[in-house]
Amino acid sequence: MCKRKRHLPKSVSRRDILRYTLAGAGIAALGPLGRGMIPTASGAPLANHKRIVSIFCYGGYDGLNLLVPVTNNAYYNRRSTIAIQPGNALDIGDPDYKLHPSMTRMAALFNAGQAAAFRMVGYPDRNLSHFISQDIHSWGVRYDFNSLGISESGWIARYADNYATTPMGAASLGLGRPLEFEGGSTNPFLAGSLSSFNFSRSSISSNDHQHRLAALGDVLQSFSGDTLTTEAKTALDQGIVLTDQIQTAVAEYLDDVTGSPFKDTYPVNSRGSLTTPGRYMRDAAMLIRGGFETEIFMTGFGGWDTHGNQGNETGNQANLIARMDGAIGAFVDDCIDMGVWNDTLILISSEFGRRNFQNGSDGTDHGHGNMFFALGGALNGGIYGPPVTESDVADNNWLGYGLDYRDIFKEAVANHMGENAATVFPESQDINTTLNYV
Amino acid sequence: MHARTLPPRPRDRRPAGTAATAVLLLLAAAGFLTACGGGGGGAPPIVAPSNLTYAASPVLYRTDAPITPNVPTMDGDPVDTWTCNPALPSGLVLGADGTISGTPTGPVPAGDYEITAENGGGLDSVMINIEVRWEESKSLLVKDSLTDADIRHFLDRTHFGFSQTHYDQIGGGGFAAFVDAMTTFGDTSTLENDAKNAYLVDATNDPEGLFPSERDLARYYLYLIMNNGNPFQENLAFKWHDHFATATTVLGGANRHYFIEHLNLWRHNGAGNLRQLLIDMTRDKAMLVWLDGISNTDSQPNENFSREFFELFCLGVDIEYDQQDIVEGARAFTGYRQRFDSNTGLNFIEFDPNRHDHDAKIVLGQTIPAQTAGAGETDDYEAMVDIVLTTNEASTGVSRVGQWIVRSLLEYFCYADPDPVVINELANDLRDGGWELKPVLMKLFQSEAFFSSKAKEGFVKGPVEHVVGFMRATNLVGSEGTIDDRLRLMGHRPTQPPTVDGWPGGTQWLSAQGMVDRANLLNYLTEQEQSDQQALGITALDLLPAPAATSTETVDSLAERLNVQLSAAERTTLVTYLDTERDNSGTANPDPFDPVGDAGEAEQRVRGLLWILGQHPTYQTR
Repeated sequence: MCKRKRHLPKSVSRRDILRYTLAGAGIAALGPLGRGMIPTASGAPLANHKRIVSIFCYGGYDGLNLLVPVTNNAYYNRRSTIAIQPGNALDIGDPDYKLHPSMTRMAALFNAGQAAAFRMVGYPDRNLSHFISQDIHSWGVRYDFNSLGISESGWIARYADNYATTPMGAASLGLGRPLEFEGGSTNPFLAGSLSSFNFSRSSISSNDHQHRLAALGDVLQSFSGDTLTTEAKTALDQGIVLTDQIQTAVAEYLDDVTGSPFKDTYPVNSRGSLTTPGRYMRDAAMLIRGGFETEIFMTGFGGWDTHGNQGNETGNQANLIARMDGAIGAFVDDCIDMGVWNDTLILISSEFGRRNFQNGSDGTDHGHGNMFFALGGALNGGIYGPPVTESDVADNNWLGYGLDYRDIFKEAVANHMGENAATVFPESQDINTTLNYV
Repeated sequence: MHARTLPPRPRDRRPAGTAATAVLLLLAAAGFLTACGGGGGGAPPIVAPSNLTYAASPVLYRTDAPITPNVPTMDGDPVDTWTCNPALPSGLVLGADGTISGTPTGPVPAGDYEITAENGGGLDSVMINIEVRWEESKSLLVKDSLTDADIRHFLDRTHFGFSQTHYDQIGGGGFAAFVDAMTTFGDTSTLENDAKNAYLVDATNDPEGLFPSERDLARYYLYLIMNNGNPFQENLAFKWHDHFATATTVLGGANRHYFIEHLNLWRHNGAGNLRQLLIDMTRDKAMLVWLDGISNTDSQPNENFSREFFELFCLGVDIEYDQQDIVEGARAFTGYRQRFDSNTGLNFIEFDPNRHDHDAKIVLGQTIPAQTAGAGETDDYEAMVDIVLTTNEASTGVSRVGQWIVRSLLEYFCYADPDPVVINELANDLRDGGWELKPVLMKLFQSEAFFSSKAKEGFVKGPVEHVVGFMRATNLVGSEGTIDDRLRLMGHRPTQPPTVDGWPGGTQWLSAQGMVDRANLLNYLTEQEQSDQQALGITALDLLPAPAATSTETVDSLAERLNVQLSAAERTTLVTYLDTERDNSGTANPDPFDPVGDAGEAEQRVRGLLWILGQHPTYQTR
């Protein structure tokens, strides 16, 4: 296995669906973009439009400290300084499981019946490498693609190819092009930060800028290249076509929230600017507000590889959780305000859980089974998956594989999006669980 | 084989196509007469083959495609048997009509093959010279001659793009000498001092430059990348910085100075000895902090470094090692700790035998013997490197570390998905050469594989390669500070790879926003920095092939400089762009490009042209 410098499979070329003409003063017209191919920006959240927001926590969060088994003695025995004490954890209506004290917004959602937790989540034939395990989650396939009769591709790419083929159908926020988006034939929207998604015109007159932009557009229109340069051209095309619409959506959102109660709830850092999770989640809200037809949003945050000084109720992982929880809480507020919370499903996952016991650095090394979460206005709240027993913690290095992560995603695709999950997750699993959480 | 009653055949070995025709004819005729014993009056005599010759010799064949059939011609009656001595290279066959065809299966050095055609009347033979090489993408033989496009490809891959200086050096002293020189890293202390004075030293508060911020270090490193007269040194170091990815984000005020030494490990020794590089890497101070080596102790092991030592740095995921090897390795990598010196206000690293695990370890089937505590024990780090270096692939006997490192180099400099033939040959070279990297790099950069069409398929440039290459090719420079700010937002800040796996790279850079970010960084260099550049005497018009260059000459020359491939239609668009002015109402009016008569306007148009070329799809790959 080589280092993951990812390439499109040779057989796949991205469909070149963005076409535009340049009229008069630059990018005035989208030209012959067919209806349905135009990124929809209706200026208002789409009604009855279902969406998934998938949040991936890079590094492998320590799920035992997120959904804490407060009556499990082995958990406390094996974590002398990093365990979350029962009295400090947040009650979610279950005698045996509570949430990390930094998960205040998520705890409120649990208590409102709008959150689900999943125990012992994993996949067959575990791998303790970050990068292999991340790939497995990205692909939605544990073994090989050949026997499935499909080319190597991420689960979001397969979803987009089947159910969301327009340029805004699937969006990656802040992650570049993660493996989830590789290998399909649909162009996803890949943005780093919406507010900076615009051409700089510093030190150049507007006319001169329009002049060079028009020439660039003409060059791209007649360009024909190999797989790699064609993909570059597609990204360039999208940049030119989408910047104006995105900036409109950003402006409308900011205008909208002026004076609104949820305006400032996205967490900020010590310098007063949005935290990374806050910015990514707010960008998702901006796209929803702008009326884009995105069905799958993917974003993620790093820093979860807590080999040392993990902390407990406070400390490094607590800070990470707080930033994520705050960003999610603000996003949920936005969704409720926009009237889309019942149509929105947030999934929180990570490549693996960590050891049941703490290491010598007051941290935890790589493990396997983990706790995942789902949030949404219309889901069936509760705790799913096999319970974490004393022996699961006491006798093993890490939690086992008791629930396949794909069953969570499959139900999101099938029950929430109303699509055939088998096209997105075609591989058979060692463990199959009907959850009915959504 | 039928019995023959022929006299000894002529032992005349002659190259194909050259003929001693008359002599051979006489010899053949004589043979025939002898064989038939002069019994006239029966069937007409069989005329022996003569004047045998092949369409092509000498010939060079490749392994990836059927050869052009090599067809014989001769005089005489039909031939009964064709033979070749020695046997033709594997995969080639001698047909019933003497035609040589087929697809060779593996390389064979150039050699002579004697083909003999024989019938009842006699025989004739001819010598042809055949060489079989691997298809170009697998061939590590030196490429015989390089085209201009080859040189530009080479600079794109190894020097952050074209620079006139290096292009001229290759033309002057020859390619082999250039590759030798560029892989010999001299003293760069002057450059480092300049960078240090520019970004690390604060005359009042930090005259020694020992308390840099994350930002200072990024800009210090960017200064080195942008200003080293041997860009390959920085390009290779940046590759190692990705392979052995370590970030300043885990360091603080008292230990951020470790990172200067860390960068120099790759910068000074990138083409040196791999064994030494790996040993130094395991004890590198920044690495010890980054992957928790300083908190990995005898009583409380931490697997973080041990896992990546095997998985990312030396072998590849699950190659030869398993979880138990990680555990044992973690026990070996114990003993270093970080302490604080209150006199200097700095952290330092030391080996503390009390933290070292003294018991024996078994790693990859080899034993590191136990040591006696308090008996002048040493760390096991070197032993770990030597164990991993002696781990071979069972089926081939090729070093696994050699394969992993060579693959990593090929996938950065040459092409994706390298063939095992290439990997194994270079991996064997690396081991057999005592782990010296320079000869392997020199062989790669001069090889047919490096210039093969597969190698020219291209890699996506990261933002660093994109912006550094643009500046080096155009001289339109900007400040390290601004460029660093932009690179950080684009996710490619030197000194801060996102994970120990390095930057994700590849097509992941090709996002809509990534392209807009590139446009904006180009706008910074072509427009915002214009007055600062002009204060330094740098103008875009200096790049023209001649002061009075036409619009067409200018487009061609700048496209070539940036290694941008333009179709005829694209070229026309850009020539028209140079020959057009947009007035205040936004209307485009024809207005011939005139760098002599209206230099000010021409300068603006050339800058606009560079902004466009820098976004061309072919400029996004290298």
